[in-house]
Amino acid sequence: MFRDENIRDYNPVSTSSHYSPNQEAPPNAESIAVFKDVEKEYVIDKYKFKALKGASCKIPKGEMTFLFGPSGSGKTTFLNLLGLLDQPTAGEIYLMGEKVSDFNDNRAADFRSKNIGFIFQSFNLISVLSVLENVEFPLLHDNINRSERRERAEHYLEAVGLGELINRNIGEISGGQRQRVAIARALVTNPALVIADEPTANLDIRTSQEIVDLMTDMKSKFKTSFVICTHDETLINEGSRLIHIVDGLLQDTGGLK
Amino acid sequence: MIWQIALRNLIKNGRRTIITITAIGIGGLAMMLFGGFVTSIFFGVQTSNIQDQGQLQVYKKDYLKFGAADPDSYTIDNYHNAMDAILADPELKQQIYVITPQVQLAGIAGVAATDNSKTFIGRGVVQEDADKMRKWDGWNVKVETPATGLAGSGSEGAIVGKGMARLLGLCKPLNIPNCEDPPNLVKPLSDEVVDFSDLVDSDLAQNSTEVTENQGPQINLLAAADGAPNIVSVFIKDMQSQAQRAIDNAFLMMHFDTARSLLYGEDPRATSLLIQLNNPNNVDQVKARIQQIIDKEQLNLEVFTFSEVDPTFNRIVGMFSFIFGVVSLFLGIVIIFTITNTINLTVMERVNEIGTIRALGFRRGFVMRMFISESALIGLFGVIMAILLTLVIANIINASQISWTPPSNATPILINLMVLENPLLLAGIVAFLFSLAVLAAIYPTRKASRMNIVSSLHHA
Repeated sequence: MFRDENIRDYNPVSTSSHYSPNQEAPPNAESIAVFKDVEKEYVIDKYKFKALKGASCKIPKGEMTFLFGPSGSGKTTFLNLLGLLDQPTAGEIYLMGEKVSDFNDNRAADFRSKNIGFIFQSFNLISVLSVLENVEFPLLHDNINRSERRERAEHYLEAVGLGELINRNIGEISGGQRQRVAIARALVTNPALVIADEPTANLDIRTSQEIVDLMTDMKSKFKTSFVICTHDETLINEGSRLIHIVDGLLQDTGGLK
Repeated sequence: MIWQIALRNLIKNGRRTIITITAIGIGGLAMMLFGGFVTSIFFGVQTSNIQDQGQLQVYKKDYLKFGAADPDSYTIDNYHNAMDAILADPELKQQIYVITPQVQLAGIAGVAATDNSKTFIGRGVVQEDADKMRKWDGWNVKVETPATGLAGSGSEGAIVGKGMARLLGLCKPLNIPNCEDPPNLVKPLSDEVVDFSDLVDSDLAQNSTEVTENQGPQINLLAAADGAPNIVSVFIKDMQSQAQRAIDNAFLMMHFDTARSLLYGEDPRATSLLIQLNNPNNVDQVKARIQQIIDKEQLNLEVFTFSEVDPTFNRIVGMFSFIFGVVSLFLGIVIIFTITNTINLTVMERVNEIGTIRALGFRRGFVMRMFISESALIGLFGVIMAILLTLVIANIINASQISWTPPSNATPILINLMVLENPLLLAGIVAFLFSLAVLAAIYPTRKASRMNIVSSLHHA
């Protein structure tokens, strides 16, 4: 199997014009994800449309990586492939040293449940569950008893500053608080990678910055890699890794902001 | 937590949930009430048959095949021997409530004074035994069959069907309501009328249609077992309507000894032995034991259940079972469509949630379990509603004393919906409804679980 050490040494040999951000990663940094000539083509009403055109990159482990680009540039497609929500039309994807691009549905689901957390633009919380229950929910995968589930969920809710609101219904909290719940839910399974797709798009500027700061804190606290997709450059923190994507191609941004 | 989510979603969509639960509840109510009605028919008709003919009947070997054409050759000779042999078995003695001989006969009944005569189909019964049998109610279904009416009539008493009474011109003498004697009752003798009054004792013949005190009108019966016919005179005590017109127009019941002497003189012969058991659920075992004894004693007899002798009961069971099956099928289809529609709407509303759950790493099976749990809860509540409604409405119907006449009965009986008395049927309906609820959810939930995750997440 293609393990992490091999990934670290992997240097894409590509004649395509796109930039490979792995060149900017620190020499000793391990990669959480590697994209190798990944393409994604959609067919809409018999018309083919290429959303990703041979993307190759390495995403360093334990860092916050921003995926930046305008609407329709392929950011979400990139995240869907990174999160094993979709399969590439061509190319290979490696996550934590494992080739995941040809996983079947069940294997991909199992991999996601153990290794990947998601934060969505519209929070995507389950409306009939309370704040605490929403965070507990991903733990249903493992045979964890109820009290332990609660304990872990409370721990992460405390971490995102919602310790007082655990019994509230989702409808009773603000948008910013809902996104904090979503962050706690993404972290509760202790994943290696958290993927956030426009997590601040539905929030005001102040709350947006708070959410990004919170994710930065969580990254440091739980040693989790974050890949955040945004079209708002002002949210990108100092020292973060940056991948610029335009028209399905990864562009050189100089790596670190 | 799956059940919590399911329950809360049902509460969230309260109006839709109530409509779906009500559809199951009403469908279940219809099935349970009809099932209770069918059960009451099964037990009621069985009880009527058992009260009249017992659970088991013993005949001479091959009587059912050939006895109708040659009854004299297929009688039970020395019927006492057979009865004694059966009752000598201590186990059978405990099981048997009544064992009694019966004579079946056919002949001509005539009223001398009016020159009126017609064929009859008769039974000779031991009055005490027959009346005891008619009080049997092994399933407590409260079917009340009137007594034979032969009690206290001496050996010459007899009962006729209402049609028979009308045709013989006995409506007025017996004061039968809604019964009209034939308009050409008194007429001169003709070739068509069988006149055998001169064969009967002249003193008896004189009184013909006169109602003698405590005895009733007198008729003469002519029948032959083999060779020359015999004649007896009987007094008609009363009439009893029979279920079928053809039988009602010819029915006559008399004392066993009178019928026996009419056919066989002093010979101790009978057409059959009727056996009524204490325990209605032990018939096959007793039947096998009786046949064993008969074979051992080399009596050349056969034992049958009442439904083997007369398949009417099985046809009634078959007919009502078929109707019940068809009704259940249609109700089931309506319920399936209702639940499928509800789950489809739920799935459509929760596409984004399905995508989220799948993104969080849950397999397709988990999504299916989520929606099937919802459907199962709907089924459960629907079943509870059906049971509660059934108990209330069945009690109201049973208490309202509505009567009807079953296919095999001549007299109406009270409707007694037997819902709880047939737990197997009740459990079957509950299982059927619950299974429908779960099955109906499979297609929409399977569709939901196979949705593309990316498309689901972008569903508004």
